[in-house]
Amino acid sequence: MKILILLKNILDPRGMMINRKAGKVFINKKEWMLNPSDARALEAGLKIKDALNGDAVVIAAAVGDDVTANLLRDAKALGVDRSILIKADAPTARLYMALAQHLGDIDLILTGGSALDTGENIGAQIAEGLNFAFIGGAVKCAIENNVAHVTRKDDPAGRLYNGYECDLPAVVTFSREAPSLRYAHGGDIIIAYRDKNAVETISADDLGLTDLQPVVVERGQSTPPEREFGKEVSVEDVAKIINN
Amino acid sequence: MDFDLSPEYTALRKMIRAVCEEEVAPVAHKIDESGIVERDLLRRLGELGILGVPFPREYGGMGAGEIGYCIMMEEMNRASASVATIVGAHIGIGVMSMYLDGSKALKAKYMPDLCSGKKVCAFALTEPNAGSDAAGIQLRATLEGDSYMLDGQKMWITNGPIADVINVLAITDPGLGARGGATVFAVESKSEGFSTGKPERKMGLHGSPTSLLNFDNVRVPKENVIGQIGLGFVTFMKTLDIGRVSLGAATLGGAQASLDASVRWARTRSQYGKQIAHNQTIQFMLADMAAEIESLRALVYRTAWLVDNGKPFIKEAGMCKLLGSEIASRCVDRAVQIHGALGLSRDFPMERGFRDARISEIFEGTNEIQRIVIASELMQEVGVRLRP
Repeated sequence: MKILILLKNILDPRGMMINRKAGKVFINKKEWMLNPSDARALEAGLKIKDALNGDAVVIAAAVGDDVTANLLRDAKALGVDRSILIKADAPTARLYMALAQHLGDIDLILTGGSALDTGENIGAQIAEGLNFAFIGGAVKCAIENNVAHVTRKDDPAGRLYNGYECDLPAVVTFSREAPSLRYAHGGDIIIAYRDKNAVETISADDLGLTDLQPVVVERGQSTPPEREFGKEVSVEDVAKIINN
Repeated sequence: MDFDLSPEYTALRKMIRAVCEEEVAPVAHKIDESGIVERDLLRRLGELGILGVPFPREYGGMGAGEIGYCIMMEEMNRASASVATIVGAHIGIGVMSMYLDGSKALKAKYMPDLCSGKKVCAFALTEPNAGSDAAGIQLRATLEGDSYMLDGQKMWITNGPIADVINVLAITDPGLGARGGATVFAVESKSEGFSTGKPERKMGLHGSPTSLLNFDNVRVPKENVIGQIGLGFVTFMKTLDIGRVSLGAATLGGAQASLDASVRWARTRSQYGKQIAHNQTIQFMLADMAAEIESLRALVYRTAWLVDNGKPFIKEAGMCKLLGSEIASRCVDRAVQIHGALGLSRDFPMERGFRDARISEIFEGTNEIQRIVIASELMQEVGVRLRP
């Protein structure tokens, strides 16, 4: 059983202030945090490993720089077997797809339903690209005989839970209502941060992505031409037009 | 020169702060009202390594050193002074005295359970006739075959009613007195002849139980002697020296909690059509608090660094405790003033903070004793030994 968990580092929104009138975001305190729904995915991955009595390899991965490496160290402290930092400038979904192929034999990919900062949802893209099964918005995920059993809350009022099943390999994304992330033992945090080799770094070259072409090319920004005001008409004028 | 916490400590603080804010702070008011800290909470803290922060992994600790321990005490006291006092007495003086001088076998026997929260530890020095003058202790330990018989009383023992293991200083050689004739024993509370008085009714720290301990011919096996026979006083003084640093860190957390609450209140409360933060009177109080807290933080973490790097720290440790307790008292006093009538309300945390802060000027060596410690260290540097 090989589980890949995809994590994203985001700016803590509690350190920001939004001034709607000025249309500006002020960053009072620049602190990084793990994207909340990714945290749920990480917890689900660790729970699956616990349920299999440790008979699973859990790999955490993130795209980013040295700040992101700390996030992967936290994951290591929580008990993932490997932490991989991808240092490359390319669409994240593509990088993760390449990573899954590079690692090989991945049974399950877990990640958050959406990123809190940009709202992107890469789970479905990766499932499509790798030809994996996909279930989104999970609150619970269990693995039995190579089948993923996923519980999803399909009713916003919270009364209706539906169960879904799919064969592995699969991609499952988690809702923010899934169980929250456990705390690491303090001693494991110290070890994960003092160990220089806690996080493996991988580049686009290592993943075999040498000739990357951007999917979307940004040519610039423009607004549509302004429209001219129409004529102001009274009710009587309209009535006249209709009657004629 | 690097004044920043290294990344492992930043990550550790993040974890401890999250635990304190989510699991300790919400019950802090209830703990103060009921006077009870649930054993489950201590067990939960133990699971995360919080009850063994400065001790190595081999004994079930966290291996985070004195700096990690100071971070934990700061965050814990920010959430609840009662829990911080239980944890502080448990780690800082209780388990610490065993860790510093205990034999390997003794540490292997007790420390894993103590660090994981299965057992609680206490440290017993004060007696009805011995407080600041620790040399005046009378609790007697006599050798009988393979074990010692302890007979006497201890008073004002933090964690006394809940402790499973108590490190007791007792006189083994009355001829020599405390200096040279005292020994430390690790006593299990289930031993026959041991009993505790009823918990004291205190001004603050309602959740941290304190009581009298009765030793009526309690049998303690020889293996439970901590350190060497006759050198118990040295063990206890060494323990107290280190304990002062973390106590300084705890007061830092209390002061920080006062400042945080005051800043929030200065933003929330409006008078004369504007937030009270716009009044210079409030600004001055906030600025004074922030300046004092920042100076204390620099002192506490530098002293913790001295401890971790094996440099002399006794003078600085005394300063941590002295300045910390006074700054915390001043800060919480200003916080009550800023909160106005709400500062006195028992439904707001400032009233609890005010009562909880006062003890820091008294326990683990009164501030007067700290001044004596600092002065004697100063004079020793020029070759003068002060006489008590």
